[in-house]
Amino acid sequence: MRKVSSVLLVLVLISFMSAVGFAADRPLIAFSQVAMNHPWRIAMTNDIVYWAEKLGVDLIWNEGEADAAIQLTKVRDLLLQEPDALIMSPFQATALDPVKEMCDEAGIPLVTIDRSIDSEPGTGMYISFIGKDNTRIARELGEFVANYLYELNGEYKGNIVEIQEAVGSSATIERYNGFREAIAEYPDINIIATQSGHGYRVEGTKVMENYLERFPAGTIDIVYTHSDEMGLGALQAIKAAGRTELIGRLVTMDGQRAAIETVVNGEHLGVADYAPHFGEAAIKTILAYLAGDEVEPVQMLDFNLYHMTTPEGENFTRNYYNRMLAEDLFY
Amino acid sequence: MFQNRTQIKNKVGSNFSGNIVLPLVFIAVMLIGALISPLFFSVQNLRNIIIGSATFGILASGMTVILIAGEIDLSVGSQVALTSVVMATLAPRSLTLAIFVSVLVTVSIGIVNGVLLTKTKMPSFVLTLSTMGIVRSIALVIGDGQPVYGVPRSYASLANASVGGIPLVALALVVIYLLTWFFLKYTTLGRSIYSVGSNAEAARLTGINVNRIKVAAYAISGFMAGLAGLYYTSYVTLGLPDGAVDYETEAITAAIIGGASFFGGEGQVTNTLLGFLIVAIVKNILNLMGVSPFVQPVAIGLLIIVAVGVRTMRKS
Repeated sequence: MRKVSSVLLVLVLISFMSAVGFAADRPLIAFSQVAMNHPWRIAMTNDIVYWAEKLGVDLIWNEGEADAAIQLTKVRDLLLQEPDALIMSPFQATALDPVKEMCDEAGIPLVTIDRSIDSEPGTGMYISFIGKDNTRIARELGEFVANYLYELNGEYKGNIVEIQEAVGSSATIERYNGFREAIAEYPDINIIATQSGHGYRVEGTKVMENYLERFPAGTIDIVYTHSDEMGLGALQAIKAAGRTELIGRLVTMDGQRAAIETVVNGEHLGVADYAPHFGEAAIKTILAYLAGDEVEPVQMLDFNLYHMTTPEGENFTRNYYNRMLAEDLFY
Repeated sequence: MFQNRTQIKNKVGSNFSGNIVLPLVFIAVMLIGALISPLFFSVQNLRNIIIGSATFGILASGMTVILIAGEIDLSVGSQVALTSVVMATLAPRSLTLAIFVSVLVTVSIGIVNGVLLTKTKMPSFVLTLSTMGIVRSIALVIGDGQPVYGVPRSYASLANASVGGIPLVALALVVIYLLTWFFLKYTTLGRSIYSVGSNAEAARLTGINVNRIKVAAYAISGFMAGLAGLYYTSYVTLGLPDGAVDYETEAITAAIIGGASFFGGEGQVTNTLLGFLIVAIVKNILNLMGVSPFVQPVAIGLLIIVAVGVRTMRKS
């Protein structure tokens, strides 16, 4: 009996050691998230965790509590553990720029996702920036709105109220400018009010309540919010105020399930997708780099526009929404 | 009244041996850190801990002074943000001018806080909650809501600078805490802050100008917020009008774990230093362990409950 148990023990030890041995072969990737205070950020982290597992890499990660200084500190904690690569979604381009220097010194390849840093991707250990083109997405959303107004009124004419993302972030500026670029061609389409809702649902409700008081029924044609959370908040305000004429007149960006659902049921007019799915591209880029392959310094991921205004659009949106339900996707 | 004076004397005179729990906790977290990760005692990690949390450390020393005075200052986080904006705006012209103006601004905010408090008699929590928003707005207006660039590289590199392997900011922290300790223990003003915080009426009867002491305490808090802001600016390398949010709670946490009381008259800046280091180390250990960020605040919450709970239970 004793012999059997000692043999078993040895077997367990060997398998444990070999497991450790295998584990050491898997690359260790560190991920620095900005914060975990927003569904979009949480989905981004979940996506990276998912792809890390799927592509067979070990992952350590932490979050910067939505504070540049804290994120910088926590990146140091990650680098101390000598990962094979660092993925960072920086809070702010300049404040997090020193991370490039740290990675250069430690010889750890750096990939930024969603937002970049001041340094040029493709220099030193900063191997790649993977993002989505906010300006382009906002521009296409703007064109979509202009065409919708044309279908509606027989001319390019209408009043838009806008609720912006967090003040000063590059995403805000790009979503602000891109949309304007598209409607600039049409002098009768005007943005009559713009204000920041800081990206949060509650703030979106507040700003929309304010707009509804300022602009009586019939004076607003389209509500453009920079993010789904604020769009859903604005919808809440519209419903509460009984302003049914604005149901189905909201356009927003991001593409979370709750927002796609409102497109399907007709409460939102359209959603431009800025889903936080960077995990696959980021980890594959790192694996390619570690294998000695060339990697693209700047990679812009594709996006979709979800709406029900054309049969193709309706088909596409419904299919995607059903897939989200079937696979229980948040984004 | 006589009794009050002895009470005050006891509180001011309470020495290091009065609280052995805190140093023990400090040693315990160090040991836990060493056991949990071989990286913990690496020079790089210890540097990271100090460099990463020094802003909180500087704020905590000022917050201790305010808590001893029986008040609170919620505006210090906003003051740090304002300092970074002022620094980034003025530094391209003259670094000396920028530093001077930054500290002048925060000391002035402290004085305004103190004067408003003593004139209106409103609770300091409410007053500084208001100035917290106002100061934040000023920072946002100056920076137009955007990050402000212009901090010279030489200044930005100070945060990471070392003297003989010891981070410059660690030395700065030692100097700041020594001076605050000396100030509270050996100067008339410092001792008066304890008296006022312990029992303002009794202090007034002994001839202390209570209002002036409170204004002075807020000026010190502003001064410390200015210093913290100077370091913060160097650390993040730019002016961030929406940065340093909630830093006041970090400062309060360190001070109360260190034994400062919300009812005034109690607190030792040396213990605040321990409190601040304990929090910084616990956070570092949790990061090294890869504990989920959702769970991390639990550890800090428990730490406060245990540290303060042990003290209040003992007293009763």
